[in-house]
Amino acid sequence: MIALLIANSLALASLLIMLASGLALIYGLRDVINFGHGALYMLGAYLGYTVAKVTGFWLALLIVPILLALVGIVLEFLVLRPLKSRSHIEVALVTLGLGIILGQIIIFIYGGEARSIDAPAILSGSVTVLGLSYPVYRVFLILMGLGSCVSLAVWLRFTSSGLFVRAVSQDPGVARMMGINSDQLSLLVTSLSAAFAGIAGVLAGPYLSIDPGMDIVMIVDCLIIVVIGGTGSIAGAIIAALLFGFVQVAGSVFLPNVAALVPYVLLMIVLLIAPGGIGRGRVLN
Amino acid sequence: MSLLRIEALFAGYGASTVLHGADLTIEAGESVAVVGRNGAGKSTLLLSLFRETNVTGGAIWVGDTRIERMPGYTAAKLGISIAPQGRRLLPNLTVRENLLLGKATGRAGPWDLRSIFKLFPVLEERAGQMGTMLSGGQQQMLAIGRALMANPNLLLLDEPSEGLSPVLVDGLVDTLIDIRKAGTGVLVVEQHLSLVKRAAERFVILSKGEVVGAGPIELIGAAENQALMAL
Repeated sequence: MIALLIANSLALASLLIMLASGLALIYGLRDVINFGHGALYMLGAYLGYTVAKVTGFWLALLIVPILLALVGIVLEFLVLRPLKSRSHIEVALVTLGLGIILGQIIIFIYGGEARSIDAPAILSGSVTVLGLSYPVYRVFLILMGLGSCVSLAVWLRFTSSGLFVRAVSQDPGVARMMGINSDQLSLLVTSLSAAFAGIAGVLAGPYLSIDPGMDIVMIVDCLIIVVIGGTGSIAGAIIAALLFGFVQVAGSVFLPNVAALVPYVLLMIVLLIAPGGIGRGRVLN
Repeated sequence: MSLLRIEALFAGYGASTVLHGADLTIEAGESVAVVGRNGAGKSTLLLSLFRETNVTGGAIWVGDTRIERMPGYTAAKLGISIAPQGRRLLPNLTVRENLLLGKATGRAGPWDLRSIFKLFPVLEERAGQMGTMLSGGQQQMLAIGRALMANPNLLLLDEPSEGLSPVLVDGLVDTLIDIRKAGTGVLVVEQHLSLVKRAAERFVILSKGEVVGAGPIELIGAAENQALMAL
């Protein structure tokens, strides 16, 4: 029972990690919460649905993130860069508005009914791990989440661009004086975040339903995770996603009537104990 | 062509103007000290090169490029680097990572990790530690090393002796002489004249945001210059 609970938590957390870390990266670099991030995830899911019908799941998992990265580039050039000197609330409202518009366009094109993507044959069925029979697709999700964590950590810790992202998020003034072009980094981070949203969208297809409300549910969850993790902290967001996944899955099993409230209780408890969140604003620690 | 030319610069913070038409010219390889009382505008002068202030008038030229309206990273890319007041090391980066930030300019030259570690051996010993865990003197070495990693034509030092013991100040003077010998110009903002006299070849006096005096370093102790510095 506990093993199953943990495994399901990890599967859900894997999706959340991909989304919340993107949100945290943009916040760390631009000091802005992108409320349109949920709509990018929804776009990824619907594009995944369309592309998978033509090319199959694997190519969709390759093509959709590239398409979303292009959307991220547009977002950077048309929204984040022109508005970089505006207040947080103004930029946040613009991203929220764009997210709503994007969501409505998707509903206009695809309609209101829920859809799903079939998992490829190799990921169908179950596998026995440590005596526990578990769906192969969820194991795949967990591995993808783990891969995302490792690749993000390697990028931030061992590459020049990762080092510069950490520097800008700690002290933009010093980063500028050292010759770091934060606009160039923001382009990289925004497109990367959008690509991660695309991957999460495609991966959600066989796991959750693809429906018009998925963006709102996910952005609220991700915002809770980013705040619990410490706004701007990737490591904090990853830990918070794991914690969030666990309390949500455990809540739905043990407290089904109040399961929806459990993440908010978690948020309040963490903020009471550590007001700065788990990561205390550090991009990687 | 001058390495750096600041012409009639007006700059400050928000609505407050600190510099009132400051002028300064630095030639390649020179070592210059900017002196003056607290609040004279010395740090503002340096920070204006990186758009860390609100520049409202005048011009800043690095070589033949006018930069006062260009992005803040431009000066570094053009060969001006800074060890700012208070060092401003990044707390969550190791010594090695703080140094590697200097490579963001992409400029080639004699300064790399190996040459910095040769200049400051203690930084190599502590390369894996967080920069802010170092002692004051070591942090100053790290701030200077980080700036040198950009392979600048001109190194700006803002109050480098702040918080250092006299022995460490002596070491700092030797370091600045070594840096100049390596061909890098130095512009030092400093209140301690003992350092200025040994590390610079000429001085500029700033008072109330304007340049009010200048001359070869041997004359910095002259009565009229002391009077100007007290303004």
